[in-house]
Amino acid sequence: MNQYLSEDDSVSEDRKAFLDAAFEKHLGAEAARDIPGAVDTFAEGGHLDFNGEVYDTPEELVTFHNCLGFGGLESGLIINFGFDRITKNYSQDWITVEYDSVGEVNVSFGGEPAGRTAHWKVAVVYQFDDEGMLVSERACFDSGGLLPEPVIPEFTADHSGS
Amino acid sequence: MIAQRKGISVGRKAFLNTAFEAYLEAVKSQDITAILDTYAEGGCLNFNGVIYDTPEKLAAFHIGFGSTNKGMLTDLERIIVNKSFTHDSVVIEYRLKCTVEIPAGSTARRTEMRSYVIYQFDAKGKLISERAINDTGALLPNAVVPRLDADWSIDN
Repeated sequence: MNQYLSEDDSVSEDRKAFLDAAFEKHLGAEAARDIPGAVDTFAEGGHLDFNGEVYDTPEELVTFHNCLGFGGLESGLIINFGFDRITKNYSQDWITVEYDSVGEVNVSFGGEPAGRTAHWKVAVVYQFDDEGMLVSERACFDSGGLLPEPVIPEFTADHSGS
Repeated sequence: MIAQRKGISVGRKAFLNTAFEAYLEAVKSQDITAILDTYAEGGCLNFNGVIYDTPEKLAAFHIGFGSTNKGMLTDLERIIVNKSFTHDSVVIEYRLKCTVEIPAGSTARRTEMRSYVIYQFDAKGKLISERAINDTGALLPNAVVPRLDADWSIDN
């Protein structure tokens, strides 16, 4: 890492610890399949924006988490939701997290049966208030990654995609 | 506990903003040479986990994707929903409006895809790293993950 990159003192270690604690509280509840606990980490009026769909009441947030699969229910879209890798970036009031996600897709897509293991990318911006509650969670979730074949292929020199 | 506030300085934001605007102007120009010139030597793009880390691979991506208006996506319109900063990066949340013909051979449709990109710049304002996560499922005729509300079930 060059000097330019190592000069970062814009977010203090205390502040990072504060943001980390707030983030871990939210992620910990999701990892524990504790949906009420995860929803409790949202501030009053806090919202989730998932690929542009907004969930902004406790009831909607509970339903969303259960349907996506965080509740560990067999009726969820994804079973055994997990993460292979997490990359975090900090600013003063938020953390962005890039997830390499893994899970079993509980829906048949493209002729493939349910139960297939998939790997996909998610980026989430978590913005917290001064109490460490989630004011805004904005997720860009590559839903195409749940499919058997990529929607966008790897582009190669013939520009046609491989 | 409210920890000490420092934040990204105004000068740093201005520097990053200038670097990002130069990139944005290049992609809007649809000129592949200008686009490639915004990357640092050794700069790379990670698009949904696929790495493009040479000028040839970056050119293949940008032409294939649609940055020159001749690829998989055409008439790209980049709407910035949120812009935020870290010390060395600009984080952009986009709504990408575009025209697609997916699956191949289908009628061209106007659609919209959510995109998150973190642009990391070097001291010269060149792109060291561009990491993009896009909801590629949104390019299909039917949503892969529809709105998850009380009416949704795995059976429909």
